[in-house]
Amino acid sequence: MVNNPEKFTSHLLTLEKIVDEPSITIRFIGKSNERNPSKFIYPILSNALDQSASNKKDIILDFRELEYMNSSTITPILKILDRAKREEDCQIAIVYRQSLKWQDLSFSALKIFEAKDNNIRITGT
Amino acid sequence: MKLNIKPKWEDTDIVRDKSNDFLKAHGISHDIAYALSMTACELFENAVKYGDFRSADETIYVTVEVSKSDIIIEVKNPVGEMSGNLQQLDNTIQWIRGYQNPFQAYVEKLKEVSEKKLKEGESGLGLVRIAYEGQALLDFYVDENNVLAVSAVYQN
Repeated sequence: MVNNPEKFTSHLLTLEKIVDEPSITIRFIGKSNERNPSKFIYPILSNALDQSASNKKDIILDFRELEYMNSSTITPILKILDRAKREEDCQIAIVYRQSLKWQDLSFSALKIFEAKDNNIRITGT
Repeated sequence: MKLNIKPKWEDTDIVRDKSNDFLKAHGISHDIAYALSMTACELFENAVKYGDFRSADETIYVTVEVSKSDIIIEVKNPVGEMSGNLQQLDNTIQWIRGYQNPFQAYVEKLKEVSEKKLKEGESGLGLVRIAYEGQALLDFYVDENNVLAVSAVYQN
């Protein structure tokens, strides 16, 4: 069953949270250029991680509709990956658009966080 | 392109859009124009964060120059006389130059940031992202009027 997406918006960035049977998907839509994007993004990602642990769902962070992000936007993503790396039974996937050069450069670099047991996956589509 | 712009965070979009439009008008490809307008934006954000704006008429100068050999992005802002931020800027640029490939520096910084506590508004990733994604060489100087100029040079 797919529930209606829950939307969170701050300035030009919208995070859309979709909870379905196997996973919780957070779609990043628009532009992230706030001075402290962690303040908006991190609590949403952290909450999704809590929810995924208690419901045994995977998390998908989908950046394919993100048009721009400043470097400060990378911080909350790194913090979530660091948390996921240390938690058991947590599967997290990052999906980006490989045809966009900037997305390919930004997100393929996150492959350094892919773990041996494959609980973190970074995928360009 | 020359912009003389007030240190307002909301104007990062103006810097990015105008840089992007200027570069495209000069025949620069979409991907490079995108990467270099990101560069202008990151430098502008640093100027807003760390500049020393004591009066309402102090501004940030953003210039973008395209030549056959290179593209230069320069951002100027006033700084305090004994700014610790300048030492930090020097250290960061020297640290990036210490890597043969900026990708390695970027990856090291990603690891470092992932392990640090969330600090308001600071990732420390901006300059190394310019070196990696913008493929630009960074430099800076401070003139006799305590104006800091940070440049990013992309070899055409």
